[in-house]
Amino acid sequence: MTPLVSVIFLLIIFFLVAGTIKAPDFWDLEHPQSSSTDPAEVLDIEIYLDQEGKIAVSGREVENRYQLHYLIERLTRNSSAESVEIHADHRVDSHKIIEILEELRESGVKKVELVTEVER
Amino acid sequence: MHFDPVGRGERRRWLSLTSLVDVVFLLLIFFMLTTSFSQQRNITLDVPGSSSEDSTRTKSAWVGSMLVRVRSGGEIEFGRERVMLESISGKVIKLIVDAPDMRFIVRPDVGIPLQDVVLVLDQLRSGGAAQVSLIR
Repeated sequence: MTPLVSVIFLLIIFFLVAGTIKAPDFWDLEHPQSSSTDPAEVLDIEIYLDQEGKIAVSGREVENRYQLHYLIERLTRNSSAESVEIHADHRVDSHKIIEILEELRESGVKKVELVTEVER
Repeated sequence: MHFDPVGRGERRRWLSLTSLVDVVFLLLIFFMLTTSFSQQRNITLDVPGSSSEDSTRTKSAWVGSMLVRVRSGGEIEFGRERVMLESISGKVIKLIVDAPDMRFIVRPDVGIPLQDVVLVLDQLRSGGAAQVSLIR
């Protein structure tokens, strides 16, 4: 029994050191791969964009453009959120991203970051 | 009747090994499920015209900026010339020497997948471009 415990302890230490704990993404996205070296930060608003162009803002799925506009407006007005991270699937049409960027520009967001993944 | 659940005459253990294994297994499963090995990075996108509403400021976002178009056939136009993807960073380095604050505007055609645009953004970044924005 004792060697079993020590092996399991080793495994736990491996997962603790080698990985990072994070909440699961809203959707199972495959981020675009890039050679960027800036580490991802946690920003005020999270926007998710999946392969088919479905949008979610801060954990709520958005049905149409008006709802997107309303949600972004409310978040930027009430809590003075100014920075946005965009999690988008690498296969999505890039014009979908631009639509979101236009919406963000109107509401006066200062900082927008596109989350990518390190190339394998 | 004498009943000794711990063991006859044995000194009581500080912690039973079986329950320790149970807890350690639970911890192991917790860490296996919550850790992610994907390393996330980010690309900062510039949002022109958001800092102030007056028209002179928004107009200046275009003045002295370089337009990079990503065409649906996989071709890339840097300004007016057609270039290879790998040669973009070299061109950016030359431009940055004269104008360090130069803005690069990336304009993909409809239907270009995001990954192709990110490759172009990567090239601009590695050339040292500080302000990169996406437009329709």
